[in-house]
Amino acid sequence: VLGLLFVPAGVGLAQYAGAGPLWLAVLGIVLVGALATLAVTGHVTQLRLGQTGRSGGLRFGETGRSGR
Amino acid sequence: MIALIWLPITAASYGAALTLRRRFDSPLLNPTLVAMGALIATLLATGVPYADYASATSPLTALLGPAVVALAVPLHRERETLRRHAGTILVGASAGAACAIAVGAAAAALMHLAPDWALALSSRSATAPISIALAGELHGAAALSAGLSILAGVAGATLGPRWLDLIRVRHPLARGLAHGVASHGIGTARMLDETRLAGATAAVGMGLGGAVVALVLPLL
Repeated sequence: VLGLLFVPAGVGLAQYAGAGPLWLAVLGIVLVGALATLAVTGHVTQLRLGQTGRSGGLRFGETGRSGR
Repeated sequence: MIALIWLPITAASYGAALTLRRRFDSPLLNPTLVAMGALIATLLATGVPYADYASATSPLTALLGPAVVALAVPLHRERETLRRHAGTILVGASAGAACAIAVGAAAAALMHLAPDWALALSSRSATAPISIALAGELHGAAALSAGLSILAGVAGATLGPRWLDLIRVRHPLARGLAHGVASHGIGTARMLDETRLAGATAAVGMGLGGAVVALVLPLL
């Protein structure tokens, strides 16, 4: 349901449909930016968890199952 | 009166997009993105102004803020783990948010984009309610900022899990934080499907990342 709530705000991009080719560049930046942010946040956090040796008794990739 | 049909049309579009996603089981068929695309095409084809559409769907938009806040519920169950790693979470979220701002601001400067595009690109990693507020405060374009936030959220939530597998980010705390910072509420919802700890950390990342964006952008 959360995804539905984001839709009306996202449809606002219709007002910028006339930007044409600029959208290709912007979409590229959004994509590269998302991947870069994921990588920096993930690696910095994982590195610090490794350095401090305090993974909270958690093994990488198999903890806190939501049980869903 | 006829504008009211946009609310059920929006819900129906999202429902159809969900069905499409289930039938083809492809992460690229993100329901939010598919519904957005279909509705944008419909608005452009029919010539209906976005203001009319936004007014008709305002009840959905009004629920967005509270729904994003509700994502923080898993925090309570993981509070001990999160408290133990508070320093790491703060450093990771700050580094990620700084990266998000830097990529957007640098790209906008290189391309000589107009200020409203530059602001929307720089604030795209913050959740839509924050980027809309920032656009209002910094004389940006709220619809553009919200739209790019949502695109960033969809991109991160769709590609993020496989991307983090590829670059060997496996710890649930790191995976969750990365999704919260890069793709806010949409990424947090995705992480809640992965593990409870990842979902809780993503909610923290969304809040911290949004706070960094809100504090830093007015200074630039």
